[in-house]
Amino acid sequence: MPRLIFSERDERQRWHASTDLELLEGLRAGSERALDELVQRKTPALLQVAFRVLGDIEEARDVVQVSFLRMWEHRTRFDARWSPNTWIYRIVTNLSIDHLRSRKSRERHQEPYRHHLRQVESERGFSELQQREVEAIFNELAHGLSEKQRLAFLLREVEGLSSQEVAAVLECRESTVRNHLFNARKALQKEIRRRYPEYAQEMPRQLATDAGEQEALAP
Amino acid sequence: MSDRNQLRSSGSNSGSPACPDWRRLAAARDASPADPPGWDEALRHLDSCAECRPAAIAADPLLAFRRLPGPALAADEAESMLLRVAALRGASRVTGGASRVTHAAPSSSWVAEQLARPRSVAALPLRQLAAAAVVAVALLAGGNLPQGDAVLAAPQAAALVRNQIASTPALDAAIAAEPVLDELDRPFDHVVQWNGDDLSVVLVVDGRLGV
Repeated sequence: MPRLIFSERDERQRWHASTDLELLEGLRAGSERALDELVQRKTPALLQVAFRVLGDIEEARDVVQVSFLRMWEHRTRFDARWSPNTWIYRIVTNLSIDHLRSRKSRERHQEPYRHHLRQVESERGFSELQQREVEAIFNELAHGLSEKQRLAFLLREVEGLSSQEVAAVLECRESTVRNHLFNARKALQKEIRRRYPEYAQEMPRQLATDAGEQEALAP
Repeated sequence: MSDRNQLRSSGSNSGSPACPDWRRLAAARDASPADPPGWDEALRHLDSCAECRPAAIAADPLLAFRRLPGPALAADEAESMLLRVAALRGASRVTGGASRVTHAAPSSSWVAEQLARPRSVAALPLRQLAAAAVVAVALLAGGNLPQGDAVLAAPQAAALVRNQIASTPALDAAIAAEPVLDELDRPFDHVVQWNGDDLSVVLVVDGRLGV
């Protein structure tokens, strides 16, 4: 009798229902389907982190692509005692930093974000413009931080990870994370008030309006 | 005062009595690296309360960066990433072996740099490992595999080969002659095996047939 020895469909369904930890254990055992599911599941979140570090979506895609390759290559190094997200975020943030350093040696001229945004102001809705402008300001100001400060601020304040999780990703103590964060906050506050004094006044009301509109639109 | 009570204490400029005192919390946070009591709870409140957002951002403009919406992603972003990763793994395998032929060009010079870096044992070309595993299984079983064990034995044999057998010209030639499924350029869904007395037939079913 013919015997079914492998079913791609069954494999995909099995991995789709598994936890992150089970996926990484499957990855460690060499399952390519587990890798596929990991890519499907984590791509949006990882693109967001890489984008926040790099400020460029195409570069973020490159970083995330290589991150998944690294996860596959280093799969046997994953320890089930670790949080899956910690291991994954560590790979992505390390590669993002690597990319940043590489970029500094081939720095290209970039048109200031604000100038560009002002130009397209008439073509877009105000709400979208406002959000993008806040995002652009973050990207601009964050470049003035050290790598560790930037990552600590990004992971803790923007992405909302706990200090403990950030410490695990950055491979340092929680107290060190708090110090990086404290210094990052000081530097950013100083810069935002110096470069964008109007935002300290304008942003609150307009962002609140945006958030209110988004809530109203939510199902 | 407990975290919850602090959260409930009304602050100036707050949207409702349930909103935290953002001015006090922000001042405490600016004064010390440690988060003030009630900070995490206040942030959770902020995520769901549009009313107190102006007061929060006025007290600490950096809160405007919290939960910034992500970049605009395409609907098929994950699918597209799946293809990119598969292509990169293909390129990695080819550039990791003797041949330097690349059929999947890296998307940027940085990605190409990453591919060119030295690889670990785990990244040895899978084609070679898989084919070597088949050879090892045949050697270990004396050419007479017990039915049903072949699929399970392959990964174990691969590990054995990886650890114990060095590459030789004869083995390389055997490997090169072995067909491997992961080089198929079409998606497959099922693999069915039919074992006869002197012959085993393996059917690889195209994923588009829906069988």
